[in-house]
Amino acid sequence: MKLNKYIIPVVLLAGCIALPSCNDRLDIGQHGVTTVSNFYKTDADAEEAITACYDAWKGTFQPAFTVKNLISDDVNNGGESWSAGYYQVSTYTYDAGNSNISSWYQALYRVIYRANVILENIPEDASSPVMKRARAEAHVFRAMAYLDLIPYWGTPVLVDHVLSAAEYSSPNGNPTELWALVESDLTTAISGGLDEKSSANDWTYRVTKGFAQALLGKAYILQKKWSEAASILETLIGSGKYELESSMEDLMTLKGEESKETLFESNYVYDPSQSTGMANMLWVYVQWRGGGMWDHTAEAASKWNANGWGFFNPTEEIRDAFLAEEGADGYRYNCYIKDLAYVNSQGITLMPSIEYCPDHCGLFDWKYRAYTEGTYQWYFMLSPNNLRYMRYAEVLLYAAEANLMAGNQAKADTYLNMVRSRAKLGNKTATMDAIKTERQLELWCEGVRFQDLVRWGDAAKVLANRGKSRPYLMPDGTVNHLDYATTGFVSGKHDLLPFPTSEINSNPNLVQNPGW
Amino acid sequence: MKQIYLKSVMTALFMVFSLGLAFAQNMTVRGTVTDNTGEPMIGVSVLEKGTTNGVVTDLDGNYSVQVKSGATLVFSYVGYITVEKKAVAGKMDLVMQEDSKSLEELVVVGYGVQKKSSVTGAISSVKAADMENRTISDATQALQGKTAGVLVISNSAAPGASPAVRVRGYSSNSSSNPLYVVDGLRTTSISNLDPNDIESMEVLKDAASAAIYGAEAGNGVVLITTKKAKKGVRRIIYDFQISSQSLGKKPKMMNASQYETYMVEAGLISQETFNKYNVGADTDWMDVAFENSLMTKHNLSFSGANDQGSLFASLSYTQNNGPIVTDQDSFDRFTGTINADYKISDRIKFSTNNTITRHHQQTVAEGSATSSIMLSAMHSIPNQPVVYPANALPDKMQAWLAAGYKLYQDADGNYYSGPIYQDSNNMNPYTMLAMGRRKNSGTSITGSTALDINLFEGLTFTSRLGYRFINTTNYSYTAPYYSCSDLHPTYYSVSATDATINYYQWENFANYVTTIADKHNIAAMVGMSFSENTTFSTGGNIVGSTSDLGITKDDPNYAYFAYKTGSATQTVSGGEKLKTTQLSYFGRLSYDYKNTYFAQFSLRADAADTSILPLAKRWGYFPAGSLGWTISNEPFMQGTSNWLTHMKLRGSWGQNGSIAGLGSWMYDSVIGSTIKYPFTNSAAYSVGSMPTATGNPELKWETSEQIDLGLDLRFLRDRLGFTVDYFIKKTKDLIIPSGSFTPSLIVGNTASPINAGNVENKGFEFELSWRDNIGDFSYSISGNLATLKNKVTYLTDMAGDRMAGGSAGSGTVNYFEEGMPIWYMRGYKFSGVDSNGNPMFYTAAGQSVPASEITTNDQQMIGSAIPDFTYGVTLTAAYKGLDLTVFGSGSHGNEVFIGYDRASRTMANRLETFFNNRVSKGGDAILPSNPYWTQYLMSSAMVRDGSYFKIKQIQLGYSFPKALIKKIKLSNVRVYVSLDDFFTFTSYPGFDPEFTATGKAMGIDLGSYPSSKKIVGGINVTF
Repeated sequence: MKLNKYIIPVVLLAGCIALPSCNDRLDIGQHGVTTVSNFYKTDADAEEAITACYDAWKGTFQPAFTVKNLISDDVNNGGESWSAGYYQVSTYTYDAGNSNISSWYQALYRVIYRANVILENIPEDASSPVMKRARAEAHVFRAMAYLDLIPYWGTPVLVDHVLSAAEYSSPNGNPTELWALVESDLTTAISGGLDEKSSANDWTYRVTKGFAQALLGKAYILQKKWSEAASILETLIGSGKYELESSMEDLMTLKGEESKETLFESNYVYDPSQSTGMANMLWVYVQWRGGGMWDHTAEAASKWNANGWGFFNPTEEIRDAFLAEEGADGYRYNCYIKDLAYVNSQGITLMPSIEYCPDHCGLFDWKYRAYTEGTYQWYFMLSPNNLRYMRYAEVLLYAAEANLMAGNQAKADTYLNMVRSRAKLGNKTATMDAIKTERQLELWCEGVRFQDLVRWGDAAKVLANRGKSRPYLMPDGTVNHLDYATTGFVSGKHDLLPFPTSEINSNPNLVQNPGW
Repeated sequence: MKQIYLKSVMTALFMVFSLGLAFAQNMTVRGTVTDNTGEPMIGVSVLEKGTTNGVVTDLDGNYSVQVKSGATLVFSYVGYITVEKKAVAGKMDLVMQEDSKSLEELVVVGYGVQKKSSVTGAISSVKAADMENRTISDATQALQGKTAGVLVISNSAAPGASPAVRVRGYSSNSSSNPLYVVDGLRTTSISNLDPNDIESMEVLKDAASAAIYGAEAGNGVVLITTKKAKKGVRRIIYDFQISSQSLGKKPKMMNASQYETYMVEAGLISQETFNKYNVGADTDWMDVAFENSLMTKHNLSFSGANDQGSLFASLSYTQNNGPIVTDQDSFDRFTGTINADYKISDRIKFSTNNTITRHHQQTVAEGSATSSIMLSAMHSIPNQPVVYPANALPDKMQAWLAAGYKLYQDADGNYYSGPIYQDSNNMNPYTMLAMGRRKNSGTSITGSTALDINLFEGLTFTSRLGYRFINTTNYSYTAPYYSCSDLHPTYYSVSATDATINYYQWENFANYVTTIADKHNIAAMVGMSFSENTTFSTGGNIVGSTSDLGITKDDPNYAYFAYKTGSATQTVSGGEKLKTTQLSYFGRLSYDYKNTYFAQFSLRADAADTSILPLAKRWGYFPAGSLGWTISNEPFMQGTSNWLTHMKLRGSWGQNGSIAGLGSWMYDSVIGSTIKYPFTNSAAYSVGSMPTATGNPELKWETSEQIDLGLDLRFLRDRLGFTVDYFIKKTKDLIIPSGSFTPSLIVGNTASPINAGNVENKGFEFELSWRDNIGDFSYSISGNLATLKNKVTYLTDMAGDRMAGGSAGSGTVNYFEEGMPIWYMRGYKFSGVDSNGNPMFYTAAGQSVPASEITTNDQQMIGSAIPDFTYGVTLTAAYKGLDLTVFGSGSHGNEVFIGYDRASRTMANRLETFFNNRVSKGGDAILPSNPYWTQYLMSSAMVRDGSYFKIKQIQLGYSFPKALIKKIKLSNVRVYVSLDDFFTFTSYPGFDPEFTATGKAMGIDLGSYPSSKKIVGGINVTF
C-alpha cells in the first residue's frame, strides 16, 4: 500500500524533530520566586546579599558577649535560675549541651554561609565597585567569624564554600589551613574594594579597610606573628583614620555611638514599631536588675532604665585590679564601674524585701548602662545601643604588644601610653605585665579577657578558683560568700569550648575537643 | 476535535462490518460449527481465502456464505486451530479443535506482550473474572487477596474512596504507590475506570519486569489492559447489580448503664448529674449514625470484530449511597469506554482506547482524631437521646440557644442533643451532618491512540499518544453550629476549588522478533517517551466572623462566593499554570534458546524536568536483567512429563527509581528578602537577601534494587499449579524532607531535602491452584500467601534517633527509625496496674515501674501495622448451570493503634472492653480520671491485634440453559446472589481493622470510614 511509503518517513521525521525540542521542554521555570541562579546579577542584588551578612554578624554578638565575658574574670553572672546556662559558663560547670555556646557557634557559621554565598555567586572579576565591595566585605565577615571560631574551638570545620549535602559531616579543620584562610580573606579584602574613612571624624557603618587591617593584626597576634602584626597595625595607626575619644564616660553607651574610636559597630536604631528586630535585648540582661530587686526613685528612673535583669556584675577581681592600678578614684574605673554608695546616692536602692542580691559584690556595670532616654519597652526593655566590635584602644594595645615582642620598645611604650594617658594615668614602660594589666582594665567586659589569658598562658593560674566562691550582697552593704562546687578552670579542657552536643550527634566525623 | 476523530473511527468501523454483506458470489455454502463437546460455536470467522469475503457464525453456530466455486474456506476462532477446507456447495459442518499452543497465555509487559512461558520476572495477573460482578467500584480493590505480594491498604471505605496499593512492601518514608499504566497511559490513579471494562491487570513485582518504567517503577507497576473485542465475536452484554449495604463490623460501645457506672466510678460525672439529665435514654449511636443503603451498578457493552478491525464500547453507571445516615456519603460515576482498532493496510494498524468518566461525590468528615463522623458515633454519650423535644430542652441547651448559638432541629422541630454531660467537641452525628456539606465532582477523558507499523517481517514500530484531560471541582461549606464552649462558630465558611489537569505522553518504540535456526528466539525493543502534565487550578474561600455571618442570609442556599457579605474574609489561591515533563529512552533485549534457557536485559534512562531535579542529576539510569531455565523442557526430564508438566526456575535483578519523595523545586533554593539592616542611625532599612535554604544540587531519585528468585511448577496436566518467589528489595537514597533532619550547624542555613535513608523489604510469595472436574461438576481452589519483613536499614545521624510520623489523639505514635519497621508504633509499654489501680509500665531495661518513674526514654516499640503475612483464597465450583464463588482475604500480625481516645476527652464514650476490663472488675483497663491517663493512652494498652480474615464474596449464580434462552434471542443469561464483605473474623474491638490511617500514620485507627457488608443481587445478560 502506498500509505506505507509516506507514513513511515513522516512519523520518523516527526520523531527526529521532536526529540531535541523534548529536551528543551524539561526546563521549567518557577513562578513567584527569584532563584539563586537569577540573583546576584546586579549591584542592588549584591548590596542585598552583603546586607544579609551585616545582619548575620549582628546575630553573633549577644551569645559572643555573654560567653566571652562570663567565661572570664571580668563579670559574674547574677541571674540565678533565670540564666542557668550563663551561670554554668561563669562557673565552668557548663557542658557541650550549653545553648549559649551552641547558639554562638551556629551564629558564626551563619555568617560564614552568607559570606560564602556571595563569594560563590558574585564573580571574582566583577567590575562594579558595589560588587567588588560586597566580595571584599564578605571576605572580612568570613574572617571575623573564624577569628572567634579558631581561638575558642581550636579546630572548627573549615567551610570556605557553600557545602553540598555530602559535606554536611565534614571533619575538624586544620589550624594551619584555617589561619591561612583568615589571612587570605583579610589580605584580599585590604587589597581593594572596601570603603575607606576620609578622616577620624568620618563615620560609616560599613566594614572599612582600616577595620580589616585591625583584624589582620589581631590574626597575626593570635598566631604570635609579631612583626607582621606590628607592620599592619603600624599602617593602620599611621593612616590617622581613628582616634581615642577624650572622654570615657559614654564609650559604650547609647550616647557614645558612632565614635571615632570604634572600628566597627553593628547598628541598631530607635524604632518601637519593629519590636525586637531592630533593637537589642542584650541590654536588658546587662542593666542591673530593676523591678523586684533594685528600687529606683522617680528621678533615678527618669535617668536610668529601671527594667534590667542584672546578669552581668563586676567581679571582685576586676575591682582589685582597678584599685591596684588606679585607686578608688581612678577616672577609668569610675567610668566603667560604680559602687553601692554611688548608686544609692543616685536613688537606686536594694528593695527592703530582698534578702540578698546574688552573685553581686556591690559593684555596678556602668560601662554599658542603659539610659532611660532612647530605650523603649516591648515586653521587656529594648535599647538600640550599637554593638561595638573593636575600639581603637584595643588596636593600640595590640600594637604595643606586637612591637614589644618584635623588639620595638619605643613604639610599644608610645602606644601603651596613648591609652594610659587618655585614662588619665601616668606613663609606663611597656612590659608584658604592663600591657596585660592595661588590657584587663581598658578592655574590661569587652570580651577579650579570656582569650588574652589563654594565649598568654595565664588562664590556669588566674582562673583557678573562678566560681568557687560566689559573692552576695546583703541589704546592709556587706558582701558575703557562698562556696560553690566547681573545679574552676581546668587546664587542657577549658582552654577550648566544647563543640555543641548536637554537632557531635549529627556529624560522626567531628572530633570533640579534649576533656569534653 | 476529539469528537470528530472518534466519529470517523466509528464510521470506518461501520463500513468494515458492512463489507461482508456487500457482494454476491456464485456458490452458497452453509453449515454448523461446533466445538469438540458438541456445543455450537458462536462468532467463528468463515472467510473465503485470499479475499475479504466472509461471515461469522450465528448464535446456533450456523453460517451461510456465497463464494466462488473452487474457493477455500478458512474457519478461525481465537484459541482454536484454524481450519482450511475446500468449499463444497451445500452443507459443510465442522468440529473445531482447541489449540493448546495458542492457549498459551500472553502476559502484558511494558511496551509489548510476552508468552507466559517465557517470563523471567515475577508478574501476577488478575483477570476480568476476578473483577466482574464484584461490588468494588475501584479496580485496585480487585488486587486484594487475588495475588501474592500485593497489599491493598485503605484509610477509608467511603463511597468513591480509592485504596492504596503496596507492591512488595513499603519502600519509602514517603508514598510508596505503584505506577499504573492503562493501555500504555501512565497514571497515578485508575479510579476513573469501571472494573467491568478491565480485561486484565498485571502487577510487575520484581525489579527486572518493572525496570522498563525506570524512575517511576520503584514501587512496582500495575499494567491495566481494558477490554477489546475478540475477533469473530459480536455481542452485547448487559450487567445489573443491586446491593443493600449496612455497617459491616459494629464496634461494641458502652451502653447507658455501663457508661453511667464507668463515669461515676471515674468521678468524672456525678450520680446527681446523671439523675438530673436522666430521660431514660439508652442510645446506640451506631444505629443512629448508620443505616441500610443501596448501591446499584449498570454496565452495557458492545463488542464486535472482524479481520479488519474491532470495536468495544461500554457504558457504566454506579450509584452508591454509603451506609451513613442521609445521602452525604455518596458517589456516582458514569463511565463510557470506546476501544477500537482498524487495519489501515496490511502493515499499518490504528488503535484507540478511550474512557470518559464523570463523577460526583459527597463526603463526611473521617480519619481525624478531632473531627470524624465515626468518632462522633463512638464518643457520643448513650445516656443522651438523639433529640430533645423543643419544650423539654436540658438547661445547658437552653443556655446555648439563649446565647445565640445555632442548634439544629429535625423535621419535627426537636433539637439534636448537644454535649450536656461534658464540654468537648464530641458532636451529635446529626449535628455534624447538618452543619455543612462537602462535595466534589470531576470529568475525565483518558486514553491512548496508536499506530502500529509493520516495517518488515518481525519489526513493528509503534507511535502512541496517551492523554488525560481532567477537570475537578471541590466545594464545601460549614454553617454556624454549637460544638462545645471552645468551638461554636456563628458564621459560615465556604470554599471552592476548580482544577484542570492536562496530560499527554508520546511514545515511539519498535519491537523486533526473530527466530534463528529454529532455536534462537530473539526479541528486542527500543523506544522513547516524552510526557507533559499541566495543572491549572483556582480556589478560594470566604469566612465570616463573630460579627459577620459571611454570607448574606443564614441559609445554605446562599453559601456561595456570589452571596458573600462585604466584610467576609476572602482568600484566593492558584491561578497559575504548573507544569512537569519527563523524557525517557528505553530498550529491552530478550533471548531464549529452544524455549528452555531465557535471558533478558533492559535499560531505561529517565530525565526529570527542572522542577523535580537539578540539571546535573536530571538523568537516572535503571538497568535490569533476568534469567530463566525451563527444566521441564530438558531431555533428561522427559520421563517425568506425565506428572510434572512444567518446571521453571527464574531469577532477576534490577534497579528502579521512585519519585515518591520528590516535590516541586525541592532541590532548589530561592532568594528570601526578609532581612532589614540600617546603615544610618535612623529607622530606615536596607533589604537583605539570601537563599531561604541551602538547596541541594545533588538531590536524586530514590532507587530500589531488587533480587527475585522464583520457581514455577505445574503438575498433572496443569491441574495443579504452584509458584514461589523470594525477593529482597532494598530502597536507598530515601528523600528526607527539610525539617525532618538537622544537619551540623556548619551548614549555616536551613537545609534542603537530602537523600539519606534506606529501607529493606523481603519476603516469600506462594501461589497455589488446583482445578478439576468430576463429570459435570467442575471446581477450583486457588490461594496465595505472602510474607513480608520490613526494616529501615539506614537513617542519617542528622535525623537524630528517629523521625516522627503520625499522631493519635494524645501524641506521636509512628516513627521512622533505623533497625525498625517503617513507621512503627512507639510508646510506653504497659505492664498492668498496681494495687491502687494505677498503670505500670516497663522501663527500657524491662523493669515494671510506676508511671511516675517512666520517661520518654522508656518508650519502645509497641507495634507495627505491617502484617507478617497476607493471604487470599478463592474457591469456585460449577455444576451444570450453577456456579459458586467463595473468596476471602486476610492479614495476619498487623497491629492497630486505638488512636481516637484522647486525653482531652475523658468523658467520651468508650469501647465496652474498657468497661469490662476496668481495674475495679479485676481487669487492667484504667479509668480516664487516672492521673496517668495520657501515658496510658500512649501505651501498648492501645495497641490491638489487627489480624483479620474477611470473606469478601460468596456468590451463587445460575445460568439459564442455552436452549431455553435461544428462544428469546439471548445467548447467555445468568442471575446471581452474593454476600460481599459479609463476614469479618477479627479480635479487634473497634470498626473494621482493614481500614486505618495509612502513610506516616500507618495503623492508627482515627475513625476511618468502615466497610459495609452487602447483600447483592444481579443479572448478566448476553444478547
